[in-house]
Formats: sequence, structure tokens, C-alpha cells
Amino acid sequence: MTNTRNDGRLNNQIRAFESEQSLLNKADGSARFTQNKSSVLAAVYGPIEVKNSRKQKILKSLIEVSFTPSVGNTTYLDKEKELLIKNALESIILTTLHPRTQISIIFQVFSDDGSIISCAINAACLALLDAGIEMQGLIGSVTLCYNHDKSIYLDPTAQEEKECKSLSVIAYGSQSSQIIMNKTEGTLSMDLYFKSLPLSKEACDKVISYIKLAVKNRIMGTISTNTTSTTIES
Amino acid sequence: MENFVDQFVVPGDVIAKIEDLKVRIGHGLLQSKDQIIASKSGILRYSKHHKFYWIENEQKRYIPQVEDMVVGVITEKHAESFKVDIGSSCSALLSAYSFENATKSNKPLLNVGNLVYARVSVANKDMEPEIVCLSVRNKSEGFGQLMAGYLFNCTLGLSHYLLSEDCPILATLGKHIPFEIAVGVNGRVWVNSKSNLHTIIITNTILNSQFIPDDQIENFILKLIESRT
Repeated sequence: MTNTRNDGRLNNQIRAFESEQSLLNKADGSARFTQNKSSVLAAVYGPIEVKNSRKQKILKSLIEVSFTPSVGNTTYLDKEKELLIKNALESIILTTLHPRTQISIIFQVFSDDGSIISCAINAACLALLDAGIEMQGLIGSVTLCYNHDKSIYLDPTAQEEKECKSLSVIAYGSQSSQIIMNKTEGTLSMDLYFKSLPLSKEACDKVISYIKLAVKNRIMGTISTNTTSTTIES
Repeated sequence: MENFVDQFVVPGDVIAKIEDLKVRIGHGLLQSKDQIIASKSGILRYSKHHKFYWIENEQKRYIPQVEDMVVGVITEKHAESFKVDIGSSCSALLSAYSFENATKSNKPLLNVGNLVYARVSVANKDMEPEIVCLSVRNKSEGFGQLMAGYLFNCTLGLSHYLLSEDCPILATLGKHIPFEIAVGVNGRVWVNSKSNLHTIIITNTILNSQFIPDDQIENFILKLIESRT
């Protein structure tokens, strides 16, 4: 495969992961997930009393997500990210175990260099594990971009996201490997989409196994864990 | 199930199929049909004496369970009950009659902000938790108001460890410093000693104990006492 990407990566290569857990004192759980220049901090508070009693749910806990960009105010684009992340996380958290409570997940972006939603979901998974929230499995997410020449880039940077034809954010669960979330932007042929599925599945599995390793290292003593970048064979 | 004991597990791991019906599962484990599934990350522990499995982790948020011993702070005072903050999502109810020798004319004198050491009597996910300051034998036996002293927070894992039989920290501390302690499994620890200096030493020893090997704890305490006198 020829080397066509600006930062010298192969088409099917994801950036190296780096993470740190329990870095906030007051939060019940927190984690920072970094992929080169994309870095997100997630903090989890919960289960706590519902702040706005109108939103209280009788049979399950309320999941509240707030997403703050690194610069500027929150815009409608951030609200969309909040909704996507919330839907993805709601399906892996066992919300029925703590009815009439709230679980708040707060994201702060340190720096955004593409694949920021995936980065946030992975950070949230680590933070939820750190907070000891009951979950039915783990979640891993990856972003793909489809170029005009029909090539697929895994884990694109901000530049590549801007230049591509279409973009898809995909999240897989560790249980029975089902797709938890998928969001596609731009026009995309069906062939190309189905061709990319095994690739994204493989990449998410890598993310999930990294998350497992990071949590294991945390419990056994070391707080931060990092890997070298990996190529995904589909 | 045995081959997972003392191993690291993550949510979604299938730990075992239920064969022996006399096994009890706790914290972080769920039953799904005939399987036992982990719902938290941590280390699977097993108590042979109680035939009890649970997952040990370093979480900070407390979820009430019956028969847990907790340290609470009174937040509201009513005619016949108190509202107590025990660190869970909902504050707990403490009846004014659930103290030893309490009657309608002889109620405990407690005010907002006071500390109590209590036992959880009702813990249901759909209900407000209830706590009592009585042991199973309806005697106070250490439960009740905690006067003076100092309260600090720690992880739930550490508070469980302090209460376990094979924890050498408190015994080692007791050799050098006389003190009183009340450990709540909600991650709150109350200590009282004759001087503030001793209280600080005890607090620091307990909070740092996770990072010190058991055989070096005594040296750590001696060093702290020496450096301050």
C-alpha cells in the first residue's frame, strides 16, 4: 500500500492511544483519552440525585452529557455530538439498576485534530469504568473517512476530515460485536460502506482491547498507559 | 467460577454458569439466565466462609446495601426522624426511635451537621435507604453519635480493606498511638485521638497505606512521629 497521507500513516493505520485515569479528585470517575493531537477529558458523576426533577425517570437513571469544545462557546454542532454520545452510552450503561438517579458525563476537549467524537466515546468508556458504573459491556469507537478516489482513511485528522467526500463515526460494543452507533455524513455508496465495516470492526476491537489493558494497568498500579500506532488488517 | 477468583474482569465477562445454587453474588455481578456476568471492572473476590463472590474496585460513589456500616452526616432534623447524608444518590432516613433506650420522651439530641455511625436496615433501589443506630441485638454496640474527632473520605475499596481481618494497618497504628476509629463502608472514616498531631498521622498513614507495602508501614509511622516531635 502506498503512503499517501500527510502525516506519513498508512490508509488503515490508527494513531497511537494514550490515556490517564482518575486524574480528577472530585469526580467519581475521570479519564483522558489522547490520539496524537486529539485529546478529550471525560468526567463521570453518579449515580447522584436528579438535578432537574422534571427530567427524572421513574424506571431508569437519567444520562446527561455535556460537551465543551477547546475554544469558543458550545454551538449546535456540539449539541449534536452530545446527543450522539448520549445515545451510544445509554445502550451500554445498565440504567435500570439505579432508578430515579442521574449519571452526568462531562467532556472537555483539550485539542481537536479530527475523530473527536470517537475520542470522546473512548474517554467516556474509560471514565465509566473508573467510576464503577454498571455496564453490560465495553464500547469502542472509530472514525473513517471516504475519499473521492474511493480510498478509506482510518482515524482521520481534521485536515483529512475537511477534504474527504464522506465521513462515518462508528461504535461497537464488546458484547456479541454489535454496532451501537453509526453516523454518516456526505454521500457514500453502499458497496464502499459495507466494504469498510470489517475494517471498522477490527479497529474498534483494537480500541476495546486497549481499554481493557488500560483499566487493568490502573487497577494493578500504573495510572497512564500508551501504545504505539497500529495498522488494522481487514 | 473458581478460575476467575483474584483475576481481573471487565464488564461483559461471563464468569460462570450457575451450577451450585448456594452461591451468593454481590457488588458488580449480575445474573442473566443461568450465567453470571460482571458489570464492573475490578478483581473478582471470593469469601469461602460466606460462599460469596464480589468485584473489588476503587470506586468512590457509595450504593447502599443492607447491613452495611456507614458514617453519615445529619442534614435535616424533623420531629421524629433525621435525614442523613451517607454519600449515596438519595439521603437516608434515620428514625429518632432507632437508638438504644430512645422513647417518645427521651429522644437523641442530634443537630444538623453532627456525625452518626449507623447500620443500613433498608436498601432498595426504588426506595429511600433507612439506617438505624442499633445492632442486630437492639443494643447500641458502638453505633450512635460520633463526638469530636476528624472525618475524611477514601475509596470504597480502602474502607472495605480497613474492616477486613487481614488488614495490619490499624493494629500497627495502635501499637504506637492510642486512638478511636469508625470506618464506614461508604468511604468515610472518622478518627479521634488525644492530639491533633496524632489524628493527622493516623489519617496520613491510612490514606497512604495503599502505596506502602505492609512491612514498611511501621517505619512510615515511626518516621512521621519522629519528624513532628
